[in-house]
Amino acid sequence: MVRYKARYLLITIHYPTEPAPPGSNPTLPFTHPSHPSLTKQSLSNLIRDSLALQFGDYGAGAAGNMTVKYFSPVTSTGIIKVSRAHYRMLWASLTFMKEVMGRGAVVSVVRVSGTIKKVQIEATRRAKEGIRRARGVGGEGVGLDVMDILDDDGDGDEGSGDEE
Amino acid sequence: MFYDLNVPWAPTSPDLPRTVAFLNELGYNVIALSHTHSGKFPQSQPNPIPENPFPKHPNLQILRRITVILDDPSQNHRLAALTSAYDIVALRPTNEKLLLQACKELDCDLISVDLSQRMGYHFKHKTVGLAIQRGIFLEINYSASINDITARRNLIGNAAALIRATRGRGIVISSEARRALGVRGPFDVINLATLWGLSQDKGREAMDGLPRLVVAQAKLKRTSFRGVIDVVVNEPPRGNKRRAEDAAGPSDQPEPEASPEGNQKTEAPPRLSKKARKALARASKS
Repeated sequence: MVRYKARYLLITIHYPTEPAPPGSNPTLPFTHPSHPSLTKQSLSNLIRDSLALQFGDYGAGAAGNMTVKYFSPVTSTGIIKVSRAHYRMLWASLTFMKEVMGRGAVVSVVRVSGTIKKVQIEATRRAKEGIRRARGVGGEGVGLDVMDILDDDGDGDEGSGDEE
Repeated sequence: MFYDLNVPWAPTSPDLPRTVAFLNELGYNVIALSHTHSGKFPQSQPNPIPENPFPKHPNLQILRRITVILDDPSQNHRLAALTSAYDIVALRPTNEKLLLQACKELDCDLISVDLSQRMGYHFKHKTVGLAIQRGIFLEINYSASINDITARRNLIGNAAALIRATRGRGIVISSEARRALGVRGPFDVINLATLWGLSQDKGREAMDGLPRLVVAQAKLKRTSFRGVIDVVVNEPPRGNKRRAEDAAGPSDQPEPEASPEGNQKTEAPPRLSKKARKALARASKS
């Protein structure tokens, strides 16, 4: 019996047409939180819809075995698991997504890996870099909100990373 | 280094600064603002794009490009005059005859066919091969396919046909995004290219290696003497050597001896060294 090979995709959702949320750091103009009701379940439904639209029934069936392993609406970051044979199909349907819950969105894949651990490490690294960028220019008052959000998430990621 | 060589220039559009900022955020390093022109050219036309429209992004290099829409074979487009005003000159032929003409003889840096519409003809290897032999690459613009379903269908079919005709060589991918929503990250685009039938490494080449060649060649065409010898004033030599090599590669003029001469401030032709004179003679022959 051959092992089931999978790919893990680390995704970020950008909302490029929206103005930066009030009180956010000016150095991070494209880090919008997603709507709080966007959960793992609803995101997975959205992706399945997009798959069915781009690749028809065949695509929805073949790549439909994907699962959303993690999604944080606060940082708009998520991890998706999909079988290795079909990850490009899934990736393309992510690329062609035009909107997420009625907001114009760009979904970009920032890391592909065969193990979830490396993806986790990358997510943590990106969160930390975001904090560094915000601290670098923002100063005390301006950067506070974003830093709080990112700090929470960064710690959470680190915690789960350590457990493994 | 990722390139997006086609961002339409619309001075009145409020979306453009946002698009540029978003491209920067996604990891692009060089973009070209494109002014599209169709129809007749007036006697002299200044470049509408200012020298440095977005000083806010220090890491982003912004070039200026013109896309000339070819629809009349008899028209003289004064392409030579355009080369001095813009960093890149691209042509958009609207039918097969004009595509052949553009590939064969017209003086430009890039050929950009609108692939989001139904083509009335097939790409032939003979036609597009001519362009690639001359060092002129073909461009695929992906942005139309993100908004519109018919455009997506046409683009997938046409891009696959174009890639088949060129055997995957000489393809440059850029966005032509009018809004920030039409832009995708460089790796997402490479993945799309694999869907069209380009391999992963060729897809990457289409996003960074080949556009770099286009920019370097275009620059050499503008500044240097017959694309071989450049007069460089007060510039550190490291960047130049690289660029000279770039130009030598595709244009089939292996002139490694000439480039160091070019770096060391070559002046008027009579002052040239023996090596450089040889290089000149060879260049004028070919």
